[in-house]
Amino acid sequence: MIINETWRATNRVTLEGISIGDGWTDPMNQVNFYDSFLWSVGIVDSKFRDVCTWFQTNAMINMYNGNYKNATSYFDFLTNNDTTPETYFGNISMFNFRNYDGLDESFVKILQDNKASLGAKVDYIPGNDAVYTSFAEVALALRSIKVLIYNGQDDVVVNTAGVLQYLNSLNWEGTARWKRTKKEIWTIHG
Amino acid sequence: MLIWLQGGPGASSQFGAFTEVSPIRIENGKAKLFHSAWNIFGHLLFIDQPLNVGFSYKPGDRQGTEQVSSAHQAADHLLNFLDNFYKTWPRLREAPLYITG
Repeated sequence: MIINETWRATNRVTLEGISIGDGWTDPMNQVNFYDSFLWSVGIVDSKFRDVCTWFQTNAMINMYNGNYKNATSYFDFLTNNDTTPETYFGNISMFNFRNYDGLDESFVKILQDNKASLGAKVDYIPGNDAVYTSFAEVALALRSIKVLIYNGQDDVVVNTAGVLQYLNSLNWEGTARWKRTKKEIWTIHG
Repeated sequence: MLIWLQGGPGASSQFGAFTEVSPIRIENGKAKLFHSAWNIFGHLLFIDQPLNVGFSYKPGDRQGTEQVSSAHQAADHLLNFLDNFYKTWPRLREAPLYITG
């Protein structure tokens, strides 16, 4: 990777590898699995599965056409508890369908309340959703350094089917070998 | 050394620091100690990036309103940060680096 070359030249830092856990790396591929995923684990019935198909197809088409704002609204409908009527998905967490609670962001209040002692000059901003990633660069990284990809099997938003789909469609000479390689199970919290 | 970059893309890495991989996390507003956190592998560095997320800001834009709109621009900023980081902590250059997230 370019970053690695630059560092080696100027700072002599060795970038040993990168890891991506539940990465939203290739939305155009990854958005296509909400219907089958939600249906197969019993979160939606076949009628709402077809509704999901319609939304994810529209999200994909809008991404393809560069209409990211429209794509986001279709995507949000499928994955964001704030905008989706809770009855559709039984109010499950889209980050772990075995839970009902959303993300615990209670740390934000603590950071905000202690802004002065932390030396922060601005208010805490959780994120900037205007940053676009570049799918092709994963293949570049795979050619030069070790890359660990891991994915939570209960994650709906970044589901494993979508991650496997983008990995299988990478323009990478190691793809055939990667497909043959035995995948490891990584269990945490018991 | 492990650098944690939050996904999103574009989210502050403090999310990972306080809810995902660090030894001290905040649950329901209370600090909780985790003994099997990623610090058993090495130093953990969480970076508020891209510019103007988390508590990061650009001098002259103290409100932190300017948006970074490409991964390449974010990468330039990150590289600049790391350059300064390793100047400040030169001994860490010897540590193998992993970028995680």
